[in-house]
Amino acid sequence: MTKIETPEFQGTHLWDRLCWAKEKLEGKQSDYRVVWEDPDAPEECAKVTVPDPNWMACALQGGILPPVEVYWALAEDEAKPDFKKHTRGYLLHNTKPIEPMTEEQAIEYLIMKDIPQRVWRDYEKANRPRLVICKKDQLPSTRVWRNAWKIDENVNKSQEVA
Amino acid sequence: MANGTIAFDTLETTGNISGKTGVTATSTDADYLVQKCSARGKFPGDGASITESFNVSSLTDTNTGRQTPNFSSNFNTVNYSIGHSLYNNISEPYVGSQTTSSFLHYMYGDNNAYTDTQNCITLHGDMA
Repeated sequence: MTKIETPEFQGTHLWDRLCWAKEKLEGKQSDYRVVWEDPDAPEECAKVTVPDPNWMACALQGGILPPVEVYWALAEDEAKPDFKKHTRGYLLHNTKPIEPMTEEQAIEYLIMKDIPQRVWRDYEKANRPRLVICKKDQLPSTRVWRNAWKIDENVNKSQEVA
Repeated sequence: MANGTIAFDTLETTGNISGKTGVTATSTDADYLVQKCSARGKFPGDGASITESFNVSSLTDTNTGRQTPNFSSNFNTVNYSIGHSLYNNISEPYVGSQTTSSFLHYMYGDNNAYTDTQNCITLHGDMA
């Protein structure tokens, strides 16, 4: 299959790039899932993040998505008490897009983009696991007791995640 | 009262549809019209996958009956519009924790409990 060349997208609105990708790229359903717990809400159940197939296609293709630091900059702006609207949206569009990623690299990027920093920063130093990347078949097949899910504290010793 | 007339030969198209920031499209650009909503998605009730989407980077299954879609391209403000349709008789669907990059979608059922429900969302607003 001929690889589709990504146009030079630096300076193109990110939303327009997504339109291009939606039309040109085939979605990629990932088997990876990210299971995480919020240290600020330890009483809550574990959360499960699934990557979007179109987004994953963009990540694998390269030249479309901005560096994850751009999202952090916008989140910093939004966290300010006087935030009304973004004034640095150009960072999304004018920063040089990132190169193609492997699926594993894309998952790491997605964690840093869509999961709160307090969850993943220094997560390996926590006294109990609060973030696990796994395959979907490592999760319980039924979600009947979904709101009681917690990450197995022995997750590194077993194949069961939650 | 004088009768007015409409001279059709004076009607013209500009060839452009004004839309998103930095976007113009010809009036026949069907792809643009299809994608005109800022973001959209169709998600199964258990939040375990994403059926169909645009401008969504991931979906977090936050709890039973609670899902958080995350966007690839941020909105400019938190005041974008959210439309949703649900595939079950849910009495109190609502949204919360609305940021420019995500929101929390609650599906509260007639049994006075959160209920997993297949749902669709469409979002409209100015992009960052």
